[in-house]
Amino acid sequence: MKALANNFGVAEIEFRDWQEKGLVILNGVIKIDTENKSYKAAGVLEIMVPDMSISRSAVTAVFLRSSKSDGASTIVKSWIKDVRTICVEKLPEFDEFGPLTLYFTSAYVTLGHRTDCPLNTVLRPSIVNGGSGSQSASDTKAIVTDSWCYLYICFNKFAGADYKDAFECTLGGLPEDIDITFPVVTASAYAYTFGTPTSICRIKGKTLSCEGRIAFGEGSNQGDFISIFIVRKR
Amino acid sequence: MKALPSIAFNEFKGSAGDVTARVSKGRQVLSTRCQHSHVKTGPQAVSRNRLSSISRSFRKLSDSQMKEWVILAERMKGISTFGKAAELTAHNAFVRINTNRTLAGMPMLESAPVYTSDVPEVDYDDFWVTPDRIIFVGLNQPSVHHRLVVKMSQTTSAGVSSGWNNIVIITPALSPDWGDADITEAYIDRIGFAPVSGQKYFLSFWWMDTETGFTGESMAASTICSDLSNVNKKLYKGRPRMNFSDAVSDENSPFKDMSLELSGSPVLVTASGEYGFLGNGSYMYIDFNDEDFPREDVDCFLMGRGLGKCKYEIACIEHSVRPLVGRDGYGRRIAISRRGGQYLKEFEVFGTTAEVAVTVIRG
Repeated sequence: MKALANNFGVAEIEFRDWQEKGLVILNGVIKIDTENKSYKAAGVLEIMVPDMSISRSAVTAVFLRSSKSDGASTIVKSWIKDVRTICVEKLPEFDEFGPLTLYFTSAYVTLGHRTDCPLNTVLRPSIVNGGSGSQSASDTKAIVTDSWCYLYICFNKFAGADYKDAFECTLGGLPEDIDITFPVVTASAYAYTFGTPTSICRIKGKTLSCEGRIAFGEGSNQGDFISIFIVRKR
Repeated sequence: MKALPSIAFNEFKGSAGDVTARVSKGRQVLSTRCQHSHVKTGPQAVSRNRLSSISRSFRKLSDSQMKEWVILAERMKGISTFGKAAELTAHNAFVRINTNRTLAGMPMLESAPVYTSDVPEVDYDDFWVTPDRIIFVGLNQPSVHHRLVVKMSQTTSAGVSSGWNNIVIITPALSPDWGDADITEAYIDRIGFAPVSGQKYFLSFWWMDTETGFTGESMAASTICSDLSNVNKKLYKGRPRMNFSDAVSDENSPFKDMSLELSGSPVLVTASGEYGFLGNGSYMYIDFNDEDFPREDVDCFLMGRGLGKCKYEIACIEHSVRPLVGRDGYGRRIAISRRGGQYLKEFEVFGTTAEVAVTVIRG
């Protein structure tokens, strides 16, 4: 889905999307120039798109990543305001660390459905060939449909041979038709930082690759986690 | 008029003082004249004060503003059920629009709103009038500016065919909650008691656009109070939304504005709230009762965003609901625990995630 316009000065915005009654899932990356006049003037970031399947949504979360040296990130509120408008909360305190990047790995839903709520079929994806024991998970869960997946992984260890090194591993139990770039939230005992450091990862096919950690050195990083919705490419 | 004797001196017609004389079916009937009680109820007094205040404001408008209201009044007249357009003066239009806005808590308009399009009729799936609840569901709210106005009667015998003359405003400007308009409390506040099973109730309802003050055509319905809905004759089914109303916060585990609702298939969880892990550890338990929630177990991972000293830091927060056995007073417990990310003390949670309570495991 290509956006028709936006109020914060980004030339082109495109999402991979899944839409059905009561649900919109968006995947996409948007880089924001915090010096742009339109961005500065905006109170809420608005993205105008062709008609969506829902006319409003509950608030969901979108990653906001700064250009600070540790990749400081947070989550911001996002919602569908009307059938053609996606809104994103603006956090001016991050502006000095621009450019900023929004990562959409998000589900937008409508509420008020009087449906039966049967238990979901939950998969447990596995890390098949974590390099030298450097990538291991304490908990994994996934929901896979024909059109989208939800993936949750909490890591015991998530690093390469050296913490700065890029690395990759293979995920078992997920479909191969996925390709998404997103931040992995890192765990840290260091409190009171500005936001939380994240590392950029990509899942393409069954391969999970990471650019390497850029903060907090060689800590155990127990508790790095992924929690994302992925639109399948089929 | 004084009572005058007829030529034959045997018939009296007319009124004298509080007595009226008339002839009915050959018989002389004397009756006392109805008197206005001059007793004003609280709501009537408020309504009359509001009307007179709005009415007085019209005289303070500039000439150009008055012309705008003249033009608007011309556009607004035209709806009539008798084939002839109802006349509306600029003053009438001003009072009508601004009364509507005032009822919705909006400030008065001095300049006439632009007449653009008609406010749609109320589109809804069903409604219930039961002894426990009065609720519309599946309302299709035209925009966030549109509010529902509902008028409803008191208890009426099931044999009464028309009671719309006795309806009163229950909600002047209700914003539906995801298609639901629950007017139970408003009805009891206004009428004083809940609907009675087997009795008849008359309703009238319409949308009001709070931006312009325009209202849509009113829709009328009557129903017998029962457990079945008016349209589909079904029993009421609640939303899959947790009711935390009897949960109690403590100083180590404060929380506020908690909500958790399920939707879709596969089931997704949308939750929000503010929490504090102010005791030892990064977890808290909250006990509560909710017999209507359709699931025993709920498990999901949402992201928390730090508040206070941890502002904007991110953590993965598991929300796990389980039945509570052997503890008096409460039937459910939600455990809220940090599973990843940073160790937050105070944080807010918002967003939608997948529900992952496990009974079927593959892979």
